Amino acid sequence: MPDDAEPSADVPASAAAMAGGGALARDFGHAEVFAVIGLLSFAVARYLPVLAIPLVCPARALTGLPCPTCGMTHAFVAVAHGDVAAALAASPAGALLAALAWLLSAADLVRLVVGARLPAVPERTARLLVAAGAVALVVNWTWMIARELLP
Amino acid sequence: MLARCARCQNNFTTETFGLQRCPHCGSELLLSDPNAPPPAAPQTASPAGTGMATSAQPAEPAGGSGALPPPPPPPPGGGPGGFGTPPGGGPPPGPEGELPAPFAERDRLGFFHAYIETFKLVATKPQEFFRRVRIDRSGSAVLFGLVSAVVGNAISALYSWAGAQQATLAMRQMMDRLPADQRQAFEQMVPWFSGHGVLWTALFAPIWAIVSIYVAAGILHLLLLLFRGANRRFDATLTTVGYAYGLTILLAVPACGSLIALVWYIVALIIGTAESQRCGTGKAAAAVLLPGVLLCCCCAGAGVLGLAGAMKAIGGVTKGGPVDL
Repeated sequence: MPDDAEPSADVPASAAAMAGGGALARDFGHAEVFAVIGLLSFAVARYLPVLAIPLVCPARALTGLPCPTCGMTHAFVAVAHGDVAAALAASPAGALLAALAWLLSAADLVRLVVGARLPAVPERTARLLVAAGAVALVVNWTWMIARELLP
Repeated sequence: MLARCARCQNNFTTETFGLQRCPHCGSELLLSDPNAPPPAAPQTASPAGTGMATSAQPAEPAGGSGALPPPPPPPPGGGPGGFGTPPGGGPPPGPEGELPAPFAERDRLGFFHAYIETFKLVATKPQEFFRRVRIDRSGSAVLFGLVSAVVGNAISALYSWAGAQQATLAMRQMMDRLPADQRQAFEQMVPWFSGHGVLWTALFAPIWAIVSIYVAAGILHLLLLLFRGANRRFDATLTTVGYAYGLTILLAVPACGSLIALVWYIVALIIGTAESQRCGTGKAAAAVLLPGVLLCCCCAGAGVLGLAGAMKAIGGVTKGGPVDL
């Protein structure tokens, strides 16, 4: 998203309280909102008993097979607790997504504090990354189904 | 001759006047013949269905300035797409003749009035609204979606709270028809659809709404990038999702509110994305619907595989062979 570096007119104003005003508030744009959401998800996965919530995937309950996002919660919680092996076993794509999201979130907030510019991603590169992510999700789901079906 | 699309502002060459489609954004437009006799009465409204003005001019001779006529001015306030800005008042239009949504001017119009006006535009005139809304005020769009989601969820939670006993009973009756393991899985989910689960859902609605709006806008924008439909920056997508999310206030409608809100939200989101990103309805629909369609396909595929496994097991039982699930 190359144009995200440009903050919108009233998002910085609404984010002023969150960022503490001044230069931080001025530079607080969409990327930083995503960073906060990312770090919030880390806090939830790390400190809240997410896996104790009695919620199951309806698709899995009905068919006995995982849906494309099955195992993501376990993977996020495992990565947040530093258990990479358990995260990869739960969902490789989920583990990768969690690690990437939290690393990028932390990096963006550091960038904000340091005052560096948000790096611009060319549209072609962004498109390739999205396509790679979609392929990774499909491969991950195929592997998870195969793991369930094959002896 | 050279023509300019009033929607995407791109130039293109055409040989004919009349109704046609822009080769860039696919929108329908009407090129009026400058040599045609003037109409009897001045035509002020754009043709039905197109809702837009266009400009065209014959190709200029060599050495001409090459300048195209400026884009048409926005209609006066109060008219379609005028967003209720009174003539002579309000902020100046944006760089593309865009106008702030009434909700972005809530300080001047009053919160409730601005909210109602914006809701009416999003719900009943999404094409005009999203084509003309300014995208540099996405904070107002997020706030609009947030307020709607909080109010809608709160009222919906009241209904669920009141009917928790009947809902639980209905779910248990449904679960009685399921196999034991599946029944156990659904048994764990029952509290989330009644009583305290509903209350928690309503309490966390503000955080959930902000996260949902941003994540939905992020995914939608990434898919638009994939389909080469992200012609404008992320603010356009976020503005569209934020205002479309405002339709979640329809959750307040008893019984079928969630279904109405979902369908209306998807329709408004497709129309809004097509207009705000100037990408055409096809790409917008693909980007909006793809996650849902993929999920449905995946679930259907998983269902077929599960059914095949069950049939194989039944076959093993009827033949007297061992059952290996």
